[in-house]
Amino acid sequence: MRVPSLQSMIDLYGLSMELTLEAQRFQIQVEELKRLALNSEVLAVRSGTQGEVFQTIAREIGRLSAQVTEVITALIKSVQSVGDKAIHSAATARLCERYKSALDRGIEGKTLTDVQDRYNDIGNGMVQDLDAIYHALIEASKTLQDISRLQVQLPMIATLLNIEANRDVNTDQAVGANAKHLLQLKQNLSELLELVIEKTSRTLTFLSNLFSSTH
Amino acid sequence: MKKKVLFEQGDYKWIMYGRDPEKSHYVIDTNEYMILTEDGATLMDPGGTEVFPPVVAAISKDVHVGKVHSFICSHQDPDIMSSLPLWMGLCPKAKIYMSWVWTGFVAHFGHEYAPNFVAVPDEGISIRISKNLEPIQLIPAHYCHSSGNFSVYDPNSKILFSGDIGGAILPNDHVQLLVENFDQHIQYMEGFHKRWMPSNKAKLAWIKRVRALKPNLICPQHGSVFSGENVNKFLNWLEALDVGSAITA
Repeated sequence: MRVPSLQSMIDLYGLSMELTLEAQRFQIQVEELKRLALNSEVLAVRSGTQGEVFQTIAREIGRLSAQVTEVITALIKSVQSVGDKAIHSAATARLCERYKSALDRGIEGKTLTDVQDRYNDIGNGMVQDLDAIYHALIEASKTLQDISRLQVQLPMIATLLNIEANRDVNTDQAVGANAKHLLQLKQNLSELLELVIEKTSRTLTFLSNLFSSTH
Repeated sequence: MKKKVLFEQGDYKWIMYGRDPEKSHYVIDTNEYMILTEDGATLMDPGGTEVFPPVVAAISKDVHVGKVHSFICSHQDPDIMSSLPLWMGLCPKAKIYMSWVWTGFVAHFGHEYAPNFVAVPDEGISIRISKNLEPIQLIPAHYCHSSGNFSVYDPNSKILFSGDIGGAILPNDHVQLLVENFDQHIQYMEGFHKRWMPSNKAKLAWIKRVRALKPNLICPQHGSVFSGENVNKFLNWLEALDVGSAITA
């Protein structure tokens, strides 16, 4: 086994930070969806007995909001785990690099075995960290697929909202605005999803190359 | 890395390591000192992470690092002890002596070794490093330059490790490990002491303590060792020097 270099671990840390920062932007979209769910519930109650269909749609937005919140929480947990392991690995790589440098300087006697053992122990720990990062990234990829599946429901709900808006003159403007916000939210989620998928994929490719070079 | 045996009596030795020719020009040159006895080794100011590779390589020629039972840190600076996590990976049972002032700060280098810390009280302590020798003494050197600062005096060899006191910033081509011409050496330590040492009162208190000990050698963490008549020349020079120069900045 070859121990990954300090530079490669710093690069991995940089990639993981980019991924974390982008993934955290999903929180803003979650908050927006929660706000729309609450707004729709209020409008549905205001519509009274005439708004039964609207109440059903509002409940659907609420259900979707809860599901999106859950998967995005899971995504952020996964990418934070990637970041935590990556920073730990970068710090460990620094120690490893110092021990390697000491070995290159020519350690003598029993100390040689001690330094070699320490270097190997830390190197093995780093490889375990990389393995954990890999699994966290795979988890993140699965969660991104869940987000992708959920977000396609947003335009359908927006269409239903528009239909309801045309039936109820009292709330038509507010409901229409909610439908418009939902479509905008779908657009924002799609763009962000594309970006985070690309960052996850880049980090996974980097990690795969790192695995190849260390074995 | 250069090495000099400063004192030798059978298995009992004082060894100085310094002037690594391959060190980065970004890092200040440091001296590391080891007291070797039949009962193990004591390292004083083990150095920063940058110099760890040459220091451990040099020390491995004299002792198995597993025999290092004590690290003594004169104060908290990174060039003094940022290598501790690397050392403790090799000698995890060793004790780390430092001023109580710094233990909570130094734990930031790696709290897993905090149980090995020995928080030295302001008045100092004696440490028995070998069953056949008088204990070495940690002598207060507070505010010279750090607020929690110790020198190490070994009554067996009459050697004083002074930390940053007596330190000099030498040019790269300077080869002597011992001060040969004191007057010429002043140029390398004057600015350092004026700027780094904050208090004339603290400086005078340290000089008084050291004069009472009558050391044969004064060994600083930077620069060259004072021996013979240069010990008193250094103490006299430091006594007359006005320190704390940045107060007027």
